[in-house]
Amino acid sequence: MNRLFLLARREILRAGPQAVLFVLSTTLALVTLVSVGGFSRTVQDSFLRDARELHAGDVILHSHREFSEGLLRAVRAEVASGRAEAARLYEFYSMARTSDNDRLVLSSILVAPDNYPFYGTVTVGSGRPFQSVHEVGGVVVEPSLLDQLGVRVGDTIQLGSAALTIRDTLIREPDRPLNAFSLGPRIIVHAYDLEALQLVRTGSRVEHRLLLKALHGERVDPMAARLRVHARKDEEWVETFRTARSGIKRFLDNFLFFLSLIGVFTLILAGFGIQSSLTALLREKRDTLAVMRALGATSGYVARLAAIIVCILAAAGTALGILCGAWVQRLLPVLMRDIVPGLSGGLSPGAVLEGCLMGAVVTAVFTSIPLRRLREVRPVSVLGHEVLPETGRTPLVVHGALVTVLAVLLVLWKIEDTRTGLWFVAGVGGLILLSAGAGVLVLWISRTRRPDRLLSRLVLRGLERPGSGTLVTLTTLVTALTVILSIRLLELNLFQNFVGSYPAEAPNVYFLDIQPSQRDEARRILEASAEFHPVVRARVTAVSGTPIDREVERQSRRDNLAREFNLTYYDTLLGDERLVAGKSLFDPKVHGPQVSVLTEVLEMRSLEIGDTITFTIAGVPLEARITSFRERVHSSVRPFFYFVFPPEVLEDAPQTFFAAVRVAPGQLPALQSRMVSSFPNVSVIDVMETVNVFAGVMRRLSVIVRFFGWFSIAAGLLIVTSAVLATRHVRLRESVYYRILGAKSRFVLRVFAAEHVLLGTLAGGLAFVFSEMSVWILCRQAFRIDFHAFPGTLGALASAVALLVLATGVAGTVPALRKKPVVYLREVAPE
Amino acid sequence: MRFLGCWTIWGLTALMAAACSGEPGTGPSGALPAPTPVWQGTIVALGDSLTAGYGLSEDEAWPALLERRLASEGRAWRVVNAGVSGETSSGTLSRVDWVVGRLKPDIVILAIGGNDGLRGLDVGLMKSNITSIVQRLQDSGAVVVLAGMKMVRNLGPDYTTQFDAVYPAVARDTGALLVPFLLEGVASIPSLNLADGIHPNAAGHRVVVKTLYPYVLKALESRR
Repeated sequence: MNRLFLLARREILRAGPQAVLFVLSTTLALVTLVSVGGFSRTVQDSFLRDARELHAGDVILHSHREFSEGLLRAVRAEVASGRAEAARLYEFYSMARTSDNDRLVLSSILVAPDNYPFYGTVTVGSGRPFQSVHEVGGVVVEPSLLDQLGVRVGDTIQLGSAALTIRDTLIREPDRPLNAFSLGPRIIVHAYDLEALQLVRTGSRVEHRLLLKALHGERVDPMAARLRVHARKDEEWVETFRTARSGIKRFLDNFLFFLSLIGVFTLILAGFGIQSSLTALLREKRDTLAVMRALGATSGYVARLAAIIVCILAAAGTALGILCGAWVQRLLPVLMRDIVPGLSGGLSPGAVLEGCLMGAVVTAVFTSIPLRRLREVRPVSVLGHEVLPETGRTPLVVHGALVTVLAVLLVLWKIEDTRTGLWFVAGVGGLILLSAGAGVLVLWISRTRRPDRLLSRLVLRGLERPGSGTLVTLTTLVTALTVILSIRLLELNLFQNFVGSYPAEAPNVYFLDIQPSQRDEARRILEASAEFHPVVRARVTAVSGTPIDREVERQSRRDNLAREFNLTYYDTLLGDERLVAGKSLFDPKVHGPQVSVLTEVLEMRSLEIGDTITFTIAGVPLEARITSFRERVHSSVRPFFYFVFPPEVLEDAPQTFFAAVRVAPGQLPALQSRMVSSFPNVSVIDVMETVNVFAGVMRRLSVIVRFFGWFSIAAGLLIVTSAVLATRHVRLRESVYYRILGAKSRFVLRVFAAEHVLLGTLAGGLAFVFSEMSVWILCRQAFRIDFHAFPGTLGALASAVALLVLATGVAGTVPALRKKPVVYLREVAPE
Repeated sequence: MRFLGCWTIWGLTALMAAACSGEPGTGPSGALPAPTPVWQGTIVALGDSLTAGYGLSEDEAWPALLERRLASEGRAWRVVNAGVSGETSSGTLSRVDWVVGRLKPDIVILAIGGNDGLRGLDVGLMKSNITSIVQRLQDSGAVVVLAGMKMVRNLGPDYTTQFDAVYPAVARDTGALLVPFLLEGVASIPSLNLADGIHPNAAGHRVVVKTLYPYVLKALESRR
């Protein structure tokens, strides 16, 4: 046994770069397992904590009406049993007045008890704790209320029947950004003053909220389920901080799914890297092993030696992987201190054990075929340098089945959703088959071509050289490259859809209900930066003459044609729109009214160019023919319209305008005051805080997405390198033969460079197409976001990897070219 | 030219709408004539989402129900739903000439102002707008039924008192027929409203028709 270990040690020490690649692949698989998985859980915990703060409680009950006695009784039971603490909130609009009744401002009132909020903090202008200023007889108000009413902190304002003193200014509420649109500044009133206000009574419109905080580790979901039983259907809603919908929640779901994908991709890629590098390593050791067989070693002895080599390399990779994983875990909280505050570093023993076990499984499965092929090393190999025969059908089938089963298990384990997981496996399987099919096609084409130039001929023949493994290399390259490009493209799409939705110049204030006669003056006040949009309210009554069945439409879980729509008019596409069907926005050859339709409408109803849509605008029917379909290039917060008409069709229709403006912080009060004093009918909606909060969270998450995206890309690059180096041995020997036959080193180098350029270009081109296709499907089906192709960025990345293929290939050949053929032959000769 | 174009298209659509109220049509393939009613006149329901039937089909909204109720009693009056969700009195004032010009109403049921109140707009401005709307409609020869609104109580007693007083005052000043409260017997009754608590459901709209009907009959009487 000792002799076996000594032999194994000698072989490892003499192994080339393939051993390093094997170790690195194992390391990457381990780092992914222990680090990405652990970090994903940590981030989820961190953002669930954020989600708690964004909802200020664990369970959130809300209703437009007074809660039913049954539900209140259920809440009381939770509180009485010590499982939860509750806070009753009332939210409504009311007119705040100065004490002399001189000025009044519509305000958004929140009546909250002492224990609000359960999570997160209310920040006030003085910097004091909120609880110290949230007291009976006092209010905390948004600074804009002070401007609008002309009052200061310490003054008294009238709210309903109560006179209340302004204690402080309100800077931020934990749960406010989710209720984005507000028609007036916020005022927080103490719950004890609710009666004195006399504003919550019959005939009032109030949003009732009840926040519950789970105590003593009580589980939130069962509590919500218990309460949900007592809620009136479609009137009372019981949600948890996990289920309550918001843009951030949707992004977080997509983000975690993306991390899972990265984990699975990296693991599978690393597995292929292990297989590829081990195959090449054993190929390089083939002669040594053949000599051992010739000297009497049994195939079992040789297999044991190879298994020991694999175990030692895998153990080294695993140890390095766990070390790197621990290092990444320690580094992340430091790197992302400002991004995800409160992250804890370090690895749990469970994560290490899980990583080791999974690493062993991955290594065992992905090394099965190369080890199996050792049985085919016969003593006679030492004499002829003949090429190893192709593996028989059975091992391939067994190996394929093993890999598939492993992949399915890994995916289901990582993705946790059986259906999505199976789709993912089918997708990856399809990709490998597609890549292999493309490889077969390329080889067939190269076989049928006989170029005149010697260089070209040698390049094409080189693809078919015995033992070159071109099909395997190309399939591996295309698959790996597709994954690399897909990860990058997916990351770009996530960024575009979520972070790009909040560009720095996005409008953050909206002015509603500007009348046609007020437009010019409003434009002057708001200055040139304001975007004015005419709005004509309408219903769709028929499509191509068939009346809309509103009952059927309403049953649709998505948006539907039964609701009212805002129509508008313009005659050129907006900056963030592009045509997807139709020659132009409107067709001059079509007579009568025309309409351009946004592609989102196609999700409500199948429509074609030339179909007609009948609208009713304030009682007057209008039938218009569809002349184009548009889509939005960016899913931004900018206004968009499903139905756009030529100006001459709608500009005389009853309409109002709304203006979207980007206002610098601090300038809104003056602007608002100028607008409202000129046009008292105009309402202002300030989404400044909302835009800031959402944009901030999404930017933070996008940094993490990018960080972990590089894990997969690194795994892919390892495979690319390994796949190219895997056939180095064969290529080196061929270069020697060329030189013996009289070829100059320069010529041989050109042949190999051209061969790798061809491989790189083919792999890059095919991967480009496959990644665009697969990310399109992922965006539409899994992430449910808009797809953007980013051909420039992706093309550049594909070219860079193609260059890497060239560089690796050439770098692997140059050392042999520097030596005399006879020296090389002596070095590689059997020992 | 563009100006002419828009007038032409809107003229055509208005004519299309008017055509529906005119001669009886003929069924396909020379079959028996379809029983298209010969309208005795046009009632325009001018208002906001409460009129448009927010959350319901137009068939379930009170203008359509009113037309059916009138027809069931032998009164073939066309009722046009000219409700626009989200509209304020300023918006209605901006389009009142369009309504008069295109729809040529004999009777207008004006139910506007709810959104002014919900947005906390100046009550004085609203009163001025509604007065102007009524006057322009009356100048065109239409009989105006003014549907009163009451504002949600959470806006505070001062504002709601001023708001509620607008409708009787305008009716008094202009001679319009006043329905004291459009949502009488509907507001604040959960079973008659959608989940949002402010828009009537189908049953709520049926109650609204009951409330309006006597005043519509009075308006019809005054047309004689």
